[in-house]
Amino acid sequence: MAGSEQLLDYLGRYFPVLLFIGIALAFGVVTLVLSYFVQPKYPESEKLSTYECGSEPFSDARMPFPVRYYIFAMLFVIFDIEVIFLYPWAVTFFKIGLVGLIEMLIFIALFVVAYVYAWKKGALEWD
Amino acid sequence: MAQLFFFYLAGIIVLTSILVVALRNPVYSALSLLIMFFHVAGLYVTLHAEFVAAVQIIVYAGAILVLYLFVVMLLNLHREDRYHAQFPLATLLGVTILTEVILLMLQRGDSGAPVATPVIAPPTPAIGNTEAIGEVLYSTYVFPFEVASLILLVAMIGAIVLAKQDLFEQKG
Amino acid sequence: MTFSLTLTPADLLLMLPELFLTLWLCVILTIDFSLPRFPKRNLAYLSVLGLAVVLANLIWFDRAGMTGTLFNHMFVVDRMAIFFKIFIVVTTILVILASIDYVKRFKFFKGEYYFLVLMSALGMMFMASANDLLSIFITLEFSTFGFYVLVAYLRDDPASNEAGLKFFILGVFAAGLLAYGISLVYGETGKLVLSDIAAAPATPGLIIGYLLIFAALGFKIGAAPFHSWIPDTYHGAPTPVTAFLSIAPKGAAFAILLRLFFISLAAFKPAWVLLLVLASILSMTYGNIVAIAQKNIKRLLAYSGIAQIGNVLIGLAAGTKMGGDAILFYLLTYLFANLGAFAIVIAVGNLINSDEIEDYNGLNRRSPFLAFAMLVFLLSLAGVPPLAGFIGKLYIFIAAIKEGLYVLLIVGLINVVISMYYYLVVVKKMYINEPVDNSPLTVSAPMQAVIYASLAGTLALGIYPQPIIDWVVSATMMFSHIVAPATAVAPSTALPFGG
Repeated sequence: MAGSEQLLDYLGRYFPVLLFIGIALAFGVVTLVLSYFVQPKYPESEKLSTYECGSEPFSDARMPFPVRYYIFAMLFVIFDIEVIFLYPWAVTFFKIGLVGLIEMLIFIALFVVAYVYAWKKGALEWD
Repeated sequence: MAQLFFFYLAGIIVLTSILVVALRNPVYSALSLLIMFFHVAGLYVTLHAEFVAAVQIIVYAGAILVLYLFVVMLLNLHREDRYHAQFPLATLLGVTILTEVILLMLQRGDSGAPVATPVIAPPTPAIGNTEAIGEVLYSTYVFPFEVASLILLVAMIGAIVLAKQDLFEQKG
Repeated sequence: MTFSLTLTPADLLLMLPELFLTLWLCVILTIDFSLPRFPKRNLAYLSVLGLAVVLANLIWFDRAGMTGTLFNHMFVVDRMAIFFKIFIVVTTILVILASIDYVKRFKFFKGEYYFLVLMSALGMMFMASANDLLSIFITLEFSTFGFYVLVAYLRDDPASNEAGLKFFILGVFAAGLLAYGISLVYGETGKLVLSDIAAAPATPGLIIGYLLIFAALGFKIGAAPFHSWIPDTYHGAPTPVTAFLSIAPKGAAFAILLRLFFISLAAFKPAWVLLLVLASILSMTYGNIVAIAQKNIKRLLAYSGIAQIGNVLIGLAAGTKMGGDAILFYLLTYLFANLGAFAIVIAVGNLINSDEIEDYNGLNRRSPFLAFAMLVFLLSLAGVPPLAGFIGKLYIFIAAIKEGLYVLLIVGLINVVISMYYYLVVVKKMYINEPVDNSPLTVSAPMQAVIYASLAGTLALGIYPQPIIDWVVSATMMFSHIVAPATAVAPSTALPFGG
């Protein structure tokens, strides 16, 4: 380890990230806790029962999802991975120059083929 | 202080990993996996591997976990359907691996053999990890990079071929 | 590190077959989705046309002696790479021709089938040229991805789904082993190119890394301790895919195995010979004994395939240049015999919709052509002279004898006898048993072309093997430095699996 001094200095650069995480957490926690204390509470058995248009609930609310969602999730993963390849490319763009641009164009061209395919086959449509 | 970071992150990783397999509700398992992913990303940051940390957040926490959640909801697993009968086998394997790890650690301690020097390049403060990866990925390793594009092409078409539900007619 | 990438047009010329195939693939996919009325059968012929151009290109490379490396030695074009690329392209052409009738069974996505087959072929061509651990990993995964989809292509058939799932889960597991092994080797040596890592001393991490890589490649070729995915996957997959899966990836994986063992691990030869001998004996014996009990012809060919891979491993265990030659030659004989046998299974399956061996009863009455061709292919697989399989087995056994591996020779010969039994059971059913249904079977033109091509290959390699032997001998010239284990210097560090 290069010394804890150095590491701390390095991690200091991540302080804004930490701050954001803290704010996000605090927002959720404070909202919940605050509303718990502020809300008026008059519990009754009728009030606490599940409301389903007046009739008794007869099945589990958790229905199986249609498989369609899954295709979207899978396509999303694939696009996500493509984005990951774009990230270091964008960071080093000025160093790698034209060659890098051509490489990325080939990469994206192959991807566009897949994208147009998905579009034409209706994989991007809901029904 | 630096060790404190490590032990915090590692501790949470171990804890949430146990929760992933121990919790009965699969949705809770997936959510504790999410917490684990974030802490692993934090660990990568302390190791100066910013790019891997970004991948961890964007791909694992962002996309793979959504996929997991969809699977859980797709299958609508009931609590009793899970495989808790493999406990004896798991114990046996776990004990075996634990013994091996302990033996290896003991060996490394007393053999006196020179521990292989790590060949990892020392962190260069002038250039970021992501930038370094970018420079080699688009020069030395351009071949795997372009093949990766082809893999994504196959994956996309494979996903559609295998999972597309409402197929329209094709005349052949 | 500064950014540097040099690619001259001459370098790109070496990649011409792959680049052309990539372009051709995109054209085929584009035709498929933009012209829904375009007959899918023509897509098959377009694929074959593209592959024929690639084949001509490769033959030109071979004749002109084009060699070189690209991308900092990640991608190598030498005569062995060209040999394996020709092997893969020929297999793919025959498989596509054999698929044309079968594809009618798919309700949807007929065009994508050809696309995925070509995509896998492209991945395997890259595998044949992969010369460093990273490109080995990525090309191997690339070629396997297409197969994951192809195996599960019959979406309404539970067996196909099961096959796809088993193949996928075990395949991903093998990919994990490969990645872990590569990371260990890279961690110990700091290098990825196969010739660079050769110099590293044997540390425990390196040995574990190599063992993991071998396990992953063993999965790919279906050698015995890693064969468990083979029977169900071969059984459930669409038959043309089974034919493809049983031949082309084996060739591509052997290209990698040859490079890995003969270049990176040449110095450790005494250590790995025993490992390969064991894998070989296990594959041959297990495959042949279990094959006897099979009722389904696809499962029979699956187990016989495991045994055949055991035979090929003998050549790797010999660890000499001659062993390498024998592997290349044997794979060619296996290509024609196995593909021919599967072509007949496809043809019969299309006509009577069954793959049970019982339904081959009296095939001779119904179609003498199919029965005779099947006879030739099965006898070639068994190793009967004057067919290709005989020369292949002879070649590989001679390579083993020269290295003094008499155990392998004896086990191999016993296994030839065992395999003869179950191949002849099928032959007996075709020729002696009475058919239930006497109606004659007719074979379509593309299927006939495949069967005739396989017959021609099987007979030519058996009767006049000399030109092909010359070819494989020159293709493995790069391994001429490999010496016999008796004179090899043993590595200084003790290895857990001593030779």
